[in-house]
Amino acid sequence: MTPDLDTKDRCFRALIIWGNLVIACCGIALMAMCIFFISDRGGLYVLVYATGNDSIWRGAWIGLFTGFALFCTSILGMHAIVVSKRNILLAYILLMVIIYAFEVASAITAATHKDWFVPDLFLKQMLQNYNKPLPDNLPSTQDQIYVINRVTETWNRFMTESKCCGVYGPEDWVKYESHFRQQNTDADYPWPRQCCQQDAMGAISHLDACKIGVSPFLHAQGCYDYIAGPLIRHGFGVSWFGFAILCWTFFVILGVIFHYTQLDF
Amino acid sequence: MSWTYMLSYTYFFSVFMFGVRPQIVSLDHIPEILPYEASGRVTSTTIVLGQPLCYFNTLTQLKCSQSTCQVWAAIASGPGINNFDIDKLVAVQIVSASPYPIAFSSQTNRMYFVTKLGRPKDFPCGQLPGIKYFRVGAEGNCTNTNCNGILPPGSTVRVKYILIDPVSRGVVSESKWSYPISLTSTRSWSSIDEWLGKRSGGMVVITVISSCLLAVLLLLLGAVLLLDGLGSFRGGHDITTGPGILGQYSY
Repeated sequence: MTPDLDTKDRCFRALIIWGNLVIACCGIALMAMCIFFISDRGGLYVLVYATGNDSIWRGAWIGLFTGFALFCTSILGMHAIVVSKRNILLAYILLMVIIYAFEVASAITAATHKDWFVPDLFLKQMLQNYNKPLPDNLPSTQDQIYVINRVTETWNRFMTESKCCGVYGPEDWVKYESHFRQQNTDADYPWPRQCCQQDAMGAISHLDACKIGVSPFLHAQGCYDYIAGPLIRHGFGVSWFGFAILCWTFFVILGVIFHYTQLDF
Repeated sequence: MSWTYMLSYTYFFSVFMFGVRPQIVSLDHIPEILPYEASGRVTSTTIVLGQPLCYFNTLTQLKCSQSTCQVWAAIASGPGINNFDIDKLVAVQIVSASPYPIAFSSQTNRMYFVTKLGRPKDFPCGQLPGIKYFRVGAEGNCTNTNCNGILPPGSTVRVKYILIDPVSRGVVSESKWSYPISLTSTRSWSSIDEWLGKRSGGMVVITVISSCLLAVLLLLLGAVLLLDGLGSFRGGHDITTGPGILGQYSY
């Protein structure tokens, strides 16, 4: 009777330890993924910041910290199972539930904000901020100046590097009112020069053809995919990987709670 | 008043001098928007048209030769079409009858302007390489009498190509009016609705399931702590009666 119970108990402990090991690996992976997103290699942060809501970055920051916390706590958990002391196990359970709550917040934030990235969001923001005249009264408008300069710069870079124009296409610049439109005539600048095809030296291949909009001398494709693609992948990664970790962790915590209730005082 | 008087005077003068109205050769060609796929064919102030290729090259018995005639374009909006059709007969100096800068400034003005493209030999017959286009409004905000300036935003215009005799400055040949071309009217950015009002299924799944899991965990944690509290109370009681239990173990 006793050895049988002992074997069962050993197996159960081994299972929970293995579960914690998986959590440790996933935690480190989540942290690495969040660092990758936060590092913002595409320079997209300012476009999201200018919309007045950068929740997706907050989700990634929370994910980064919870990933690391999961890693540390699951190591504590393995130790706690091995020594099977009630107070250490209780501390583990409490910590794990707190981290769990934060991870829920991270996954929900990222999943929710991902839905916001519709083309019109970027279109409106582009029309409002691109080449907007800088406000005069410093320094209360530092933030606006930062947004205007960086948004203009980011759009110019995107349209040149990704060979795209506008959000849906070059027509965006012609169809809508914008600061760019107010400052330039349709005749000379139907769209920014960054929309024009460039040769290897960086000079515009054929300016007149670009002005009347003949492809390939004008980038006829919109930039939406290049902007929203990485952001949606970012939101997708943080939310679904986080959610997968949550599902796994739930069962591990259940197991640990069960183990805890089986222990003698 | 004096303007009309002067026009009719010149009209009667020309009728008196030449005995006939100015002879204008009408062509069947209809100017049209550039037939190629191009994003900027019609904007709010410009239009890109196909060139008058092979329109005026085969004409003979004109007052000017192929090398002296000039190809112009007349761009009219609303009543400007009738105004031009009147002016081409009575106004000898058609090129200055309606200067560009004031042409569209009010509805009572002539509502058309003419601008020069080149000579008939610049627009030959036959297939030519490249895209041949004429852009109305290409000179932007210009102020010359015959410059190719921007059109009133959002208006509807019609265009015809005309051949002008540089000596008499009158129309000697003309194409038909193009079909009405509506310029795009720019929309305000505040009309853009950036919120589509729909949620993805994935977001709902993640929110609902992870919230439920967290709730279950919190309940379990509460239960464990509660049982613990009871248990430690009972355990404390056990310790006072501990010797008995220990005694049992020792047996």
